[in-house]
Order: sequence, then structure tokens, then C-alpha cells
Amino acid sequence: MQGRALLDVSPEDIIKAILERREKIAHKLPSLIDERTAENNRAYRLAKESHDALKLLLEGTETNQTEDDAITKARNIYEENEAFRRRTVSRLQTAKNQLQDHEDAVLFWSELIDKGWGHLLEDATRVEGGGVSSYALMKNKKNNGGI
Amino acid sequence: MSTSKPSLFADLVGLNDEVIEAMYEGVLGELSTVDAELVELHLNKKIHSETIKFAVNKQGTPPTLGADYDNDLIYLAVQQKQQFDGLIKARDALVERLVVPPHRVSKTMHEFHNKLTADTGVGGTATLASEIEMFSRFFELQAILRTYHENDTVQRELRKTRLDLLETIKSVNKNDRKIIQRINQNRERSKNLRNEAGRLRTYMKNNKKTLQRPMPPKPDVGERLFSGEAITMEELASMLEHGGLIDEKPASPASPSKKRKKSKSIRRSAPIRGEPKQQKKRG
Repeated sequence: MQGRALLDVSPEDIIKAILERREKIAHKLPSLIDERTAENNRAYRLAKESHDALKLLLEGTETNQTEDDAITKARNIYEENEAFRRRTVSRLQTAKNQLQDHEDAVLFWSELIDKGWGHLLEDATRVEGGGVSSYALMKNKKNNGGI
Repeated sequence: MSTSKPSLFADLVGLNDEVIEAMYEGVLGELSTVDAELVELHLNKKIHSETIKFAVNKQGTPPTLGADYDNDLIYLAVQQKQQFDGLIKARDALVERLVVPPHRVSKTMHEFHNKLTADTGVGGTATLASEIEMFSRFFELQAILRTYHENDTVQRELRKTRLDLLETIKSVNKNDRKIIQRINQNRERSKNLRNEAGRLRTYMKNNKKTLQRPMPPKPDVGERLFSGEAITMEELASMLEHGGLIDEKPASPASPSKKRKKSKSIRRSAPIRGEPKQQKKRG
């Protein structure tokens, strides 16, 4: 959409488009969260197993070269699994946050479409009334040393 | 074999004194007409130069035009420049009010519209806070763009007035060059007439004719006189006849008092009366 066509877009059009997009994504998110949870569970199990293996090796009394190599290898495996677990936790949390954000957004825009969006169009109303734009206000503020 | 030079007065020999006098008067009359025209041309040239300077912003004020000045082109140029200045002011006020140029408004609106409405997948979604910000900005930009479209006539008028003014100034410049040419022609004519008047005058003088009127003074005589330089008796006579002595600046009131003050400050010495004091004798 370009130029003149953008002038015909109403707030209602935009809100409807936002809601449509948000709802579409919100439908996909639960399955994504399930995937992320399964991935996180698998990562947790791997990390726990490698941690137990390392612990067992460290408790052993023998101190020869073969034993040291085995401990180093077990530690590397544990660190790799632990890093993977942390990544999956983060991914799962992101997906959960996204779902929460989508739910909040859908609620916010749904309420807005009923109650009106006037408070979001204060700058537009000022410009339409012959006033200065928020860009001009920012520029003036910057020129006056932030006052 | 020697060839004698033709006399400077060959054409005057044998003519009546009255005829030569009339010729002299005629030349003087023509000379004063040419000089008056020259003054007028200089004034017109000054107005043209000032108009061009005003149009190209080298001078802040338009030229002062007398009530009887009737050059429509100059009036048109001044009017167009004033109109152009007004439109520039209106455009600047608009830009100062909106700040963002129209092409950037359009581009940013397009970006915001895409971010708000296009399906970017789960990962590419903006947060609710930035969505609210973009929503608000989008409609402000829409209002800005609408204002620009409404003021499109100002832009168009500005471009047109600018082109018109340029064309008018071209014509003024052309006229200015024509005036310079005419000034040069008139100067040449004035010089020739002066020479002719001088020739007639010399002839009449040589033939013991008393002159009724001396020649008008040259333009620089007045300047020379008031700058303190010497002028000849003939020049003085011509100034008395044709004017030029009383047109100059009046003497400033401060100057005589200054002179007086100066003369007072001269120390005068006079002989002391009475006997001079005698020195005390040491006892």
C-alpha cells in the first residue's frame, strides 16, 4: 500500500488487521509451547543423566590417566547438555511470553475497537487542528536543551 | 609643398553673428535636454539595479518608486518578489510545524502499516507497547501527509511565482542593459554638444561677441568646488547662470562654532605694564 491509499486507512481497519493477525498467531502458539515443553523435558533429562554420570566418576578413588580422560569427556557432555537445557528454557519462556502478549494484545485491541481509540490519536488530532507534530515538539525540545 | 590644415571654424566664416548666436543657443538647449534625460536615465538605472538586488535577496527592501514612476515591469517584479517571499514564509512555517518531509512520511507510514498488519509469523511480531506506538504514529503521519496534500497549492504557486519572477528579472536585466547603452549614447552626445558649444563660443569670443549665456557647468565642477578645489572664473559664471551653487549640502551648524572656538584658543601675548619685579638681595 502506498501514498494516497494509506490516507484512506481508518483506525478501525488497522485494529481489525492487528486482531486478525494476533489471533492467527495465538492459535499457533499453544502447539509451539507444547513442542518447546517436550524439547525442554528432553534437555532436562539429558542434562540430569550427564550430571549423574559425571558425579559418579568424580566419586571414584582411582586416579590414572584413563580415569582423568573419562572425567573430562563426561564434564564436556554435561556442559553441552546443560547449555542446551538453558536454551530450551529460554525458548519455552519466550513462547509463553508471546502467548501472554498476544492474549493481552487481543484483549486491548478488542476493548479499543468497542470503546474508541481517541486517546491514541491525540498527536494526529493536534496536527489536523493546525498544531505542531510530535516530531516538531521533539526537535524543539532537543534545541532547547531538553526543556 | 605644405598643406595647410582646414580651419576649425571654416563652416562659421561668413555667417551672421545672430545666426551663430542662435546656433549656440540651440546647442545649449539641446545640451540641457540631453543632460536632463541623462539624469532621468541614471535614476531609472538605479531603480532597475535596486529591483534586481531586491529580487535576488541582496537587498532587503524594494526600491523607492515615486508617485509618477510608470514602469510596469518594475512594479510587477516588486510585486512578484513580495508574493514569492510570502509563499516562502508560508512554506517555511509549514515545514517548521510538520518537520518530516513528505517522502519520509510516506515511507514511514508504509513501514508502520506493514508491521501492524502483515503476517510476519510468530517470531516477527512486535510487542503490544510498540504496536500502540506505531498505531499512534501512523495516524499522526497520515494527518501530516494530508496537510501536505492540502498545502500542495502553496508549493505549486511557489514554483510558478519563482519562474515568473525569474522571467521578469530577466526582462528587467535586459532593460537595465538597454539603459546603460542609452546612458553611454547620451554621454557621448552630451560630450559632442559641449564641444560644439565650446567651438561656437570660442568663435564668438574671437570675433568680440559678448556672450549672453555661458555654457552649463560640467557635472564634476560642483564636486570639485565643494571638495575645496579651485574652479575657473568661467566655471563659476556658468554655475551662477545654470545653477549648482545653492543645491549643495547646507553648511553644518557645528562648523562655525568650531572655528570660533579654535580662534579663541590662540594664545595672545602682550607687553606687561609697570616695572619688572626686582630680585631680592641676599642679606
